[in-house]
Amino acid sequence: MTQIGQIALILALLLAIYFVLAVIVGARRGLPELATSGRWAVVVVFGLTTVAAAALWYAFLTHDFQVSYVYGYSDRAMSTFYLVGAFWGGQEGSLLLWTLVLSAFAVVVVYQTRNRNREMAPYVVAVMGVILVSFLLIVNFLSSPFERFDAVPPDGNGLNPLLENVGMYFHPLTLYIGYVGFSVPFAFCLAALITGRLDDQWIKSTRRWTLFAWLFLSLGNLFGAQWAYTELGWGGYWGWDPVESASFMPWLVGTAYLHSVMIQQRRGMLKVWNIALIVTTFTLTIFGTFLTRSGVISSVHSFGQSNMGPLFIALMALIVVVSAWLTLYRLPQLKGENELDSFLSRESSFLFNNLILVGAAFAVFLGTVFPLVSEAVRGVKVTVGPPFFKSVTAPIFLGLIALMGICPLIGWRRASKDNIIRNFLYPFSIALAVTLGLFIAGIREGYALIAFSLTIFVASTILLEIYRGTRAKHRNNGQNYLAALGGMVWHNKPRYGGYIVHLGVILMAVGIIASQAYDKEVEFTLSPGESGKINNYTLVYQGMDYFPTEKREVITATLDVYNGGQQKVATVTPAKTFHQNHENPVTEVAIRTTPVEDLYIILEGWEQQKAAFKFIVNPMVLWIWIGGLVLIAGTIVAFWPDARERKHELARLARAGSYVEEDKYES
Amino acid sequence: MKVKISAVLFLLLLLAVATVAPAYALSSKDVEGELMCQCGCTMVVDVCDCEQANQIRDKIAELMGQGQNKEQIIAYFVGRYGEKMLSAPTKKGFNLFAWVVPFAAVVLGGTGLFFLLRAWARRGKREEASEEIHTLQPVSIEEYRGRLEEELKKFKEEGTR
Repeated sequence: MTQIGQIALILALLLAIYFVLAVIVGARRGLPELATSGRWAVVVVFGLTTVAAAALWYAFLTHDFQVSYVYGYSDRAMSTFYLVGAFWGGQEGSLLLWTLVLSAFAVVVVYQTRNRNREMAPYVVAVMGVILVSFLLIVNFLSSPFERFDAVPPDGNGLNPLLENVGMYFHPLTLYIGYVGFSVPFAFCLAALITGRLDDQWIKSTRRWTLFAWLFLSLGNLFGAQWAYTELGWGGYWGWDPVESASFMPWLVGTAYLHSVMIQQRRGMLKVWNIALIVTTFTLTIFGTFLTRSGVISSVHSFGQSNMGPLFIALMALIVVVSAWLTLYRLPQLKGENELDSFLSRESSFLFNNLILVGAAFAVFLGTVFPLVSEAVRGVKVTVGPPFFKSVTAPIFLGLIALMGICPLIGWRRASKDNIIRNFLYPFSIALAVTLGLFIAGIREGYALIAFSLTIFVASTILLEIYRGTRAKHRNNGQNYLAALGGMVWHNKPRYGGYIVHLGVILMAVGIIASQAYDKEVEFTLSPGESGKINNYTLVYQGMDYFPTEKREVITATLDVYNGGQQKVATVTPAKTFHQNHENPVTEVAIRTTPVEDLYIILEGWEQQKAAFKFIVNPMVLWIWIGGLVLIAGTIVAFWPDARERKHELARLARAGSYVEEDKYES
Repeated sequence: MKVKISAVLFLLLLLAVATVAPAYALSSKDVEGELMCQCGCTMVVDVCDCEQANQIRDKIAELMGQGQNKEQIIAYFVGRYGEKMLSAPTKKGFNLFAWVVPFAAVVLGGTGLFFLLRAWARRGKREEASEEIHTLQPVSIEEYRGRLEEELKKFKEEGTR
């Protein structure tokens, strides 16, 4: 079966090369039949990549340990659920997943552009084709998941026990969809540069792709955070591991891009800047893929040393050089009418937001690569860990939160001072009042106080804006408030979707600030019957249990949790599991979540019935995940198809007469 | 004599408090947060769960027991494992680059952006002003209006053809 996969990958590579050549030659030479055949070749590439993926899954499910990848990442005792997920447990399979997702997206783009963007379409799909060819080269020749041993080992090595978590599905899949999703706006951008169609058509055409990729990148990061929180067992959700940073950087620059394209759409400005942002975002997604596989920077996600570092560097260099060269070539056409009606405008505030987002990405990038820089310059290895990232990014993110509140209050083009004062007065007063309240309630840490007051400020700007809009609609149309709110959101989905996303981010910020500033940690060594206290909780240790299973040995400790009123509120069982083939035990933490705080219990060690525990109270962590859900809801609202938009698009196409022509072209 | 003994005892007590005091003031977490575990987990010693982190924690406790302060303990580990043991680069020498450049970039970028936006806003105002001058010339407006109507008429005629 794996031979079929191998053959499928070779054929996919050949067809992908044909796909790129056929669409370009077809477009250049005016050979519509060739172009059409080339375009649809990508469907076959996707089919063949799917066959290869199916072959790998088959190898996992049938325990074909002669395949070294299957041997390396699975064993006979694994459940089907994790056997399926083991597909992307290592480097080779995850690169095949990248290729599979990319080929699927290429099919969607070919389908979407069958009647639209006629001039750009061949180049859009060709750019995606070139990326596809690069990845097919890698999975065929540098990192094949189908390498075989001569002998058949009786059992496999098994998956790293930390990966045996439902997060194994959510985190890598969403992250890859996000990473690969950004290849679409990037491809449109390059196509616009190649064809000289430098109006905002490429941006309009990729708005939903960008939102889609951004949403999945956000989800990938959030799922990663949740996985770390529940499975790594150290009490936190973000450890500033280089690879976490690598998936955060494209998110930051992608967010800047999402905002700055609005200026180009409204004012025709910042064309070069937007190109730079999307190229950087896409390059950073490749950088993230590169970091995990090159072994240049040590990371918890590392797939170990490999020979692919230079290849990824070459791919990134190619992306940057080609994009830069095309931009320079088109520079005379890219010069926009750079003028503003007023300094005090949404445009200006968006540019400051861009500066901060890109600045944050730069800070994270510098921190990530600084160990290499230091080694090159001083010959001394240094580590850039969480304390650095926390100190450097915290003030930058506070600035970002502040701008999230300020931007929506400043109108497009020109904001009058009266207008600004009117818009600022209430949110500012509310924030001030709440801050005073917090101060009186005993929150005295400067950072936390500033951060909380900023989040209140932003939340009140958004809620007031929504309230004002609803009230106006209620007064004008006589609708009840709920109908007015629904109608308002429905008729301007991108705008209100954006506000909802902002609210989600603010909820996350509140959770992050609270849990960073007010976490508490206590360690106890207890004998059965003894108790330990943390904040208002009293935890009474009951005893230890030992469960050997076929695959692992589990040691659990049972503790009863009492609240301040000495009522028993829960029984928790933190554990450690010892897996076959793995030296280090895995910590299974016990978490008791409430909207106010998480009680996080780690079993650290034991001797006979005596056990050592770490109790952590992490305030408001639940709000990070709730914020994530709100973010998803907001993005879906912004993404939702708009009947009016579709009507305008059809009208535009009909005016241009391209529909008729395209139909001919396709047939 | 009694006074002398009391004085010596008092001094001894002071000395004892002075040497013990840092150990009381210092929490092992303070030190563990500043040191990186070397097991490859990329986590600070404080949160890593591996055997090596346990050994480092034990050593920290031992050094604290000997009355060493935070700087001394950190210096001990840096001497043993090198600068990579620190969870963040020191704030001196070349390492300052990592600490300063992100802020410098944002501040410089912000200043540059401020002047750029101001220039763009001025340009916008200038063009607006020149448009205003045009509006003060009714004759030319009439001229344009005439031409516009003429062209519209022509367009309509052509369109119905």
